[in-house]
Amino acid sequence: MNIKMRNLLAVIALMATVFISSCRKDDFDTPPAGGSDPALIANTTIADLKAGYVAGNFDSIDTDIIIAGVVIADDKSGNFYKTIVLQDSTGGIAIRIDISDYYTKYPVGRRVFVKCKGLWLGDYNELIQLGGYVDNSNPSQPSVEPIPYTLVDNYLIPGVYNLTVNPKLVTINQVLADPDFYQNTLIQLNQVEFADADTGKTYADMILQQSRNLVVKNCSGGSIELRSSNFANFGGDNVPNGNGSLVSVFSVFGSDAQLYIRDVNDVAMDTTRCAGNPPPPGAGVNETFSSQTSGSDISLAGWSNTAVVGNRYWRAASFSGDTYAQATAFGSSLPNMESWLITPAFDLATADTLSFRSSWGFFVHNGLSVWISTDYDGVNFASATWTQLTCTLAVQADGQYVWIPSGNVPLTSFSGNSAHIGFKYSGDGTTNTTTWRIDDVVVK
Amino acid sequence: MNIFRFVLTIALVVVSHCTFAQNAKVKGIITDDLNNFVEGAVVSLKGTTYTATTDKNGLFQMENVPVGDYTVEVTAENHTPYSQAIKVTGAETDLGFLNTTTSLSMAEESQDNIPTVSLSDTDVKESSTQSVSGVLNASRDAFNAAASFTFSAARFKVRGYDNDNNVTYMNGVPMTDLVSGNSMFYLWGGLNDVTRNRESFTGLTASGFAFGGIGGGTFLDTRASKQRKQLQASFALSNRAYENRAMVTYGTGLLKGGWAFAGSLSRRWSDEGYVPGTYYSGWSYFLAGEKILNTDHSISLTAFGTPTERGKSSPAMQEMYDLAGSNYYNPSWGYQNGEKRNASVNISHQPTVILSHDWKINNLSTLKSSFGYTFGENINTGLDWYNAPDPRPDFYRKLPSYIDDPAVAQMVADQLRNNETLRQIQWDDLYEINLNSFETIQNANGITGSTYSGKRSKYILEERVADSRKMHISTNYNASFSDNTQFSAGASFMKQKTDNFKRVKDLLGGEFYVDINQYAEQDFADSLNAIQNDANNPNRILKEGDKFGYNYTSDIIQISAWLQNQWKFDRIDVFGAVQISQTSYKRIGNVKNGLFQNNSFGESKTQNFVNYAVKGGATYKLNGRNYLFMNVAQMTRAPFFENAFVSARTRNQYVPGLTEERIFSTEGGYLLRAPKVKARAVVYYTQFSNQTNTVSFYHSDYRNFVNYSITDIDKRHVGTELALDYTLGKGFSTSMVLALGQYYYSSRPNATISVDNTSELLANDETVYAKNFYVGGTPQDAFTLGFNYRAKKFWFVNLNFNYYNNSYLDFNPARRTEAAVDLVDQTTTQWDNIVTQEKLDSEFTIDFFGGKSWKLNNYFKSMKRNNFLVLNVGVSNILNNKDQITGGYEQLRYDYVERNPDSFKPKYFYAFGTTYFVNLILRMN
Repeated sequence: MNIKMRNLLAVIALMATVFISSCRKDDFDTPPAGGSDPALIANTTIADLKAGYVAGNFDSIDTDIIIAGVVIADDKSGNFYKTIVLQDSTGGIAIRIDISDYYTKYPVGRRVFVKCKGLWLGDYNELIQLGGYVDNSNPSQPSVEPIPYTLVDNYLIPGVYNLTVNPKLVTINQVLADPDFYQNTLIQLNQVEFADADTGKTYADMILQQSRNLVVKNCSGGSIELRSSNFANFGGDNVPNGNGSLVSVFSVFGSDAQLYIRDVNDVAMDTTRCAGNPPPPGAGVNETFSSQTSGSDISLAGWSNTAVVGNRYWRAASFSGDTYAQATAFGSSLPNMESWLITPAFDLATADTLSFRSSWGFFVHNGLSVWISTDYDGVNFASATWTQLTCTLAVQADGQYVWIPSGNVPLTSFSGNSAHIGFKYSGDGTTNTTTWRIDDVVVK
Repeated sequence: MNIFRFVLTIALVVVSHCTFAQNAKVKGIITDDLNNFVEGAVVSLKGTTYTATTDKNGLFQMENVPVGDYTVEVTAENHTPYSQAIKVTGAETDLGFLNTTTSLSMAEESQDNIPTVSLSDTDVKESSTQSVSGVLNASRDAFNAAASFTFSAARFKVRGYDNDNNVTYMNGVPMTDLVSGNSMFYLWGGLNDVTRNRESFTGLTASGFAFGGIGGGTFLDTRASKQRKQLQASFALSNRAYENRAMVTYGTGLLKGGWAFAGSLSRRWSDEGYVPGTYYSGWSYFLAGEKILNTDHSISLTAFGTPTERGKSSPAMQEMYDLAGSNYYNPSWGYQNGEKRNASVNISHQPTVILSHDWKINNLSTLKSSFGYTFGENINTGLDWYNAPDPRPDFYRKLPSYIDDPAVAQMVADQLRNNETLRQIQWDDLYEINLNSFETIQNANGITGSTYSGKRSKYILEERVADSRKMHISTNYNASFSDNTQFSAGASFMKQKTDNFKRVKDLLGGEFYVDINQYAEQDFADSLNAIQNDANNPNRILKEGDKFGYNYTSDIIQISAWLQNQWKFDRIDVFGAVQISQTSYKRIGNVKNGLFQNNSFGESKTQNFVNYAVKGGATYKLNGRNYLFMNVAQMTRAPFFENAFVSARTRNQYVPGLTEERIFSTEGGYLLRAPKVKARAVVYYTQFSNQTNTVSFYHSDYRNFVNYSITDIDKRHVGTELALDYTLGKGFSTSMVLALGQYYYSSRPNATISVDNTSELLANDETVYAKNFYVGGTPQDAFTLGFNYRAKKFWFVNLNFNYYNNSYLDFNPARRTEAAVDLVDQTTTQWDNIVTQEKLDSEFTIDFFGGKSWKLNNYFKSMKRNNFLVLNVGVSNILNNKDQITGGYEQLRYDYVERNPDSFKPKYFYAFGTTYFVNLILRMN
């Protein structure tokens, strides 16, 4: 028995040793975040690289040329596809690589060194590109093909992140005068706006699923095209109808100049359109808010949703399938709240009657009033003159959530071709907290 | 029933006459399963002092034994202890041949030595049933031994049947996953010592345990009282899936007071297996206790589990194998800071508890009841990514074949050939991208206006989890109402709930992930809800350990009852059996998928199937050595849950026209049981009708899963099985096994194709022109010729020559539709390339197996009990054949634009080259 026990213990000890020594590590070491520049020195500027190139020539690069630049456009939004735009202090160039979603590795702001030997310099209708090889299958129209996925690392060596490239502030005339110089660089145009005919459009044609060219104008009559891809995640967004600045990558297609934005943050057009040219008024207003997402702030083309005091906006809400606009100070800690929901401009000559519905919830105060302005420019609330309208609103006696039609409110005592109706909510977070709702706003 | 029992029955014909003498002479001859006479065996009568030792002819003799009933016990070196009830009657009782089994027998040790083949994962169908332990119905029939051992390296399937046609029971509990119908062999992997008590029946024969499947069944008896009374420790070295295995097993045998206990602990591990990047780390534990309450009742409890983690290999296209210069290229790993890390890992731990009760109602009847419970997670890991380049190193756009320009393609090929890093996952890149990916999520966690900022992982390691709870209750009644009838009946209730979901395992350097569906985001950018995997919790910010993606529960109940009667007559044995069962299941959606808001959350309709199965057969006994038999079965079967839904991951939508499967099977043959020759010749015919199968794969253009629901699958399996064992004498024997089959689709199935991110069907009930296509994944013909030598000095060697033929690749149904060949000229090679099924090469291999045992008492005289040291050595594929494709599949993706089948080439698995397995066992009795 003793011998047996000893045998048993010996075996157990042996097994324990074996088992313990066989433990496998499971926590893998984490590599560093990267983002340091490689030990490479750029020996050629982008301008020099492009300098000798003659459109249509398609040259292979067989010398040890190294360029370095900062990524100014990537494919994060989808407006650029398999094309990186790289810029140094002398100019910019497009590099074609056969990787989708490459922005993860070569995002805007990252320095990239390019070992050009073995690449090809060519052009796509005069837009100069670096690529992996040339497809001559159509001899009359050779094309630079993207660097194959597997080979990209041989040529593109990324470095530090988060560098800023300030766009060159230029005018439309300046860039059109020297397209070669500005090609594939980041430019900024100030005091420009989308042409009247384009303000009602989305960036790309999402119905026919194709790219769209929109006309961008300055106030002195100059214009240039902005092109956006239907693969861009902003392709279905409405373009702004104000005036302001536009940052973009300058590009060419043959003799045509084209601008490409990286995403909608490049567009800041929220001021008054060119002098004397307010946004064209609509024939009238007819808004049911049904396009709005319940729980989100109202955001409608041509409408202004303005928090004059406090930080609360008019918001979409819905009940029983009906979506409407509502404002409330309830639950906020605002000492004062004033929020305006303002219709698009309309022409009083053709539309002079207002109607809408209103209702309230958790009544403690009368917080809704309705106003009209004939000089509001669509942006600057404070500089406009507002006149209160007398109309039928829901009152406490009507009961909670009961919609009260305003009836027809005549606007005939006002005149002008650019009138706006403003719905003003005022309250505070402590005592005046009633929720006010409006719906079915019609001016005709 | 195995030969051993059978021979025994024949041998135990007690020839005696009634005499008036009180005492008798008892004699007999001890032989073993190799037809050797066993010398030195100790024969004793239990509870008495009568013992005898056999001579070199295996003969023993006991004098003056009082007339009465006894239990004879036989112990011999290297032989399994054996006991049998006998009746001592006349003056001389001749027990005839007592046929013991060698403990060093091939069949038993081969279970340890089954070559573990890398298992096929299709792109998605990583069922929870991947087993490393392989098939195990290794009873001592030469055919079964070859099928489960020799042929397993070639992934041979007996009669071409899927795993779900064979049921494995442990102590009465079917170890089946109700979702797929597959046996979960991995549940007891590494517990070889305690799962040796087994009995198998093949085909349609009768069994007293259960109705079984048409492929038969295996019964494992792990009750503590059935475990050997000994301490056994072993250590094995190998170069297959694992490199090391250590195992200790202890059995108390039956103790005073009717108790018995047994325990086993084993560990299998390797830092790297045969295939680069694979690894293995598994524990197995087993505890059993049994109490024999009295002569009629015993209660037994068994608990075991196998917490295992293993790095897997994935199949690859031949292009990648060629670029890597090895058919064992594995795309699922990569270097991270210089160390190999595998992205495809299986982690499982599903403990099982079985409580069973045996009741001997009287001498004629027994009732055995069991309760079983299995629970726990089976996890497969993989990469997931969000708006980022495909991280898989063998993604088709990274390969030379994707590039038209030959010179450039050559450059890409050279690059991949010379740079191993590019052929593997580039973990460091993934980390760098995640560490530099700062983003702000609006309306985070569904709270309007709430934002969440940080490093948003573009790549994560996800776990696809199947968390099961399965319960089984059953009872089996057996009775011999007369000498020539054997009645069996049983009933069982099974319930299984499996939660299926994804879980974030590793953010790979990032700080969070978001629970949204990226493809939906592309197409439904304006709809906040459509992109949500869980519309009730939109924009959920995910951390490691959070569930995400799909989340549903499969809820399955199966109730069945069966009965069987066997009649034995002088010349003929007949049996008939019938089973009726009800299967019902439903899907419970635990999240509301933004794309399927109306039918993803909550319970689906319940599907109910009532199925029957009947079988019967007859064996005609020409004489004690020659038998003819014939069996027939007809049954219906509910479609398995995993095939019942168009896309169980996303919605409660059943496959259109879901219907039960119908199976007809018949077999007939001839058995020869002569002293020197054992032979079996069988022909079989099986027709499967109305099968349903659902498979899905990741489509990189849709950026989501595409699902194929194939219905009306009819398959015919016909063939012949021949097995011959011939004892040449002087320790030499030879065996020959031949399986010739034809497994093919006997009609044109229908395909319905759907995508996980739209309710639109890509194809609805499209005809698949696959009539007479072959069933893939197994050689249809297999042949082995074995030569065995067993020396008197307790060593043996065995050499097998194997040949496999007529193996076909699993085919993509989409390529055999009208749409696939639309506008393609039928006379072109393009047409042929699209529709022709690929036939794999025939293969030839040689395996060696040998062993020796030493009785330690011969060296250490002080030992009181018998202790043995046993060494087994197996070398598989001695010729180092590395070109043996054992499986694979045509990629399910098809290039409808170019109609070029080579755009997405097939992926293959190769059998290992030369591998070895060396096992050293110490047995202390």
